[in-house]
Amino acid sequence: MSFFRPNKYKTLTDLVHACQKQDARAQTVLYERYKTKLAGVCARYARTDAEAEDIFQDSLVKVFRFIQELKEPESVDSWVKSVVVRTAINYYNRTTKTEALSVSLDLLGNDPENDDYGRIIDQIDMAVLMEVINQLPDGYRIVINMHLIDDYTHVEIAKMLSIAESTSRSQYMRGRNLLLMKLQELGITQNEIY
Amino acid sequence: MKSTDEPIDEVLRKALKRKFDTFEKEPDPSLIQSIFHTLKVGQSPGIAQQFIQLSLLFAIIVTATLMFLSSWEEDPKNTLAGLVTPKTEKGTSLHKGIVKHDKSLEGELKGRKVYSDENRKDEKLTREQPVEITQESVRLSEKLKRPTVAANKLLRKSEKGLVTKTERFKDDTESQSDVYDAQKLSVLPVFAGEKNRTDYRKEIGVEQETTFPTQASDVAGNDGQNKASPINNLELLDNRQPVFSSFPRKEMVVNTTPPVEAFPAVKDRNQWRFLATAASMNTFQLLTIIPDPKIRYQNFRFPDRISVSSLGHKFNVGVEKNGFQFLLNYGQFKQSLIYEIATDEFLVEHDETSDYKLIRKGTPVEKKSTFRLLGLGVKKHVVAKNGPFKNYYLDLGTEVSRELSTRQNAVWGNFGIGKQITVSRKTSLVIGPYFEYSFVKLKNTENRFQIQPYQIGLSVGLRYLQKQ
Repeated sequence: MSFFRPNKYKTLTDLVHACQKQDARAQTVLYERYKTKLAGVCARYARTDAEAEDIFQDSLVKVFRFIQELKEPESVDSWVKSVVVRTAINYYNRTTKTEALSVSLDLLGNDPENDDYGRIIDQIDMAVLMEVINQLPDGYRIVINMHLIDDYTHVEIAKMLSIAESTSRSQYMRGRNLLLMKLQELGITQNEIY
Repeated sequence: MKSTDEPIDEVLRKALKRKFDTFEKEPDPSLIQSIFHTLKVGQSPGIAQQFIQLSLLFAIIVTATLMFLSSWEEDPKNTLAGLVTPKTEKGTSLHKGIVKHDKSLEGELKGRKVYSDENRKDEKLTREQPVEITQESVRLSEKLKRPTVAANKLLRKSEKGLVTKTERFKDDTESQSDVYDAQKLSVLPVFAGEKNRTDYRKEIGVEQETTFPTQASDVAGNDGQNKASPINNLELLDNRQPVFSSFPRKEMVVNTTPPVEAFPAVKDRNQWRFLATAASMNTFQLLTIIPDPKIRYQNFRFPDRISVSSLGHKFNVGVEKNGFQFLLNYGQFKQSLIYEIATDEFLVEHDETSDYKLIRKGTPVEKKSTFRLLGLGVKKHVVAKNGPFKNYYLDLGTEVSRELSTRQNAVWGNFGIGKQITVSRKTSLVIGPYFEYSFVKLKNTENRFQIQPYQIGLSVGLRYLQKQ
């Protein structure tokens, strides 16, 4: 019989099980474990810092409320991330009514080489890149984030957003072109600076 | 599907992953407090639950008070004190009689002294003074009320026509022997001398002297005086009620039993009763929707507060002992609601204030389901036996039931009040409002809804006592 709780949860499974029993200490440990990573994900999906905080808060509340339904504690990392993504989608489903999406599928100006975009992304400051992504319209930003960074397929995106797969693809194409345009502008600016 | 953009997609993916795989951001430190505060608020019981808990607490307190009062009144000491004391102050004949004989008994026991004028004076004073009830006097009064074995024996014989004249007289005398033994009064005036006897007869209101036949020869009566006496006429003697001039019989036979009810209650506290009740209830429900990012629900509509579609029924059968009821129950109720699953289509409407309103379209869904529950329950049944709420009952119980189609368990708390009406000596009818609340949410398997039902209705039942 132990009078004191162990200082650490030996495995991730132990931690999840403790959270499923609504152990407040385990919840704090889980929060500390994921807070910076999830705050980064929220920042990508959100338009502003305030919205990112809202999504972060909603996500963590859902994580702690529904962790009892998690059948495989080993997959908690991907589960927590999926909760954040879904919360972000719901957030913009609630707030976004209509958007004027009138971006051409064609790239603007001179086409740089594909590798140039990679180089631009590597070189620019993180805050600048975040700003570029945040400035994308909600629909584009979500699809770009899901498909390019979080590795969701168009089938999965269509299912999660309750849209057709073709809509997901076209949204992605428009969003990607808009991103490339912005990166292209940034590359030119960067080149001018250097 | 392959596309011409695949190479650039791959370049972008790799570049962004390099950038964001290690990207972390420190959240606002105050967020942790608001998150855990939200969690605590979500986990704390709602207003409805708090109301139910307070109601149950109130019911428990009321039940405990009623039980305490009923048990206090059933205590013989409390009952006697409560019944006798106020009457004693008024000086009723019953209590005068009891006290008088008790005092006389005291005097007799102290030295078997002769019943003298002084004794009578003392007795007069005693009659006029406030009386004091003792355990001895209570026992004596009980003994007086109880029919003796000899009296019962005589009654049986007379019914069969077997009793002889002598035996009848003898038995009549014996039937009162307990009274004599108890009061020690019949003998005392006989040995107190003629003067004292006459005075005593006057005092107790018996003017004519009556001689007690103690031997068969006295009854037969050989001399002339006795021939003239009505005692010589055996027919008259047979029909004559025994009169004990030294004993104020009228004062002793005051009936202290309460008025007889149409159906006197059977003493059944330790006996088993059989129960059968039926309740018809209106069902209300607290609806919880488990979030699903894929589906957005909107425009919920519920049936009217009181309608046929929300009517539920419940049937109980069981047994009761010492006020505790053990019940097997079956109940069913319906859940009905209409809602929409939101689509991606929006409708722009122009309202009266010349503003444009965006309305999201939805696919309407009508959901009807029936819950059938089989369970076991225990209840405490308390009936008020006195006071303004006499024959009103209060039930408080709990039960565990299993939903037969979804195979879920539910725990219920229930509460009922009402009137208990005696139908016959063995049967009583109980009728009154009934309330029950589920402490557990029942999941709906076809969607992500959870309902927590509570029901209010009318309960009618019969309680049947098997033994007399």
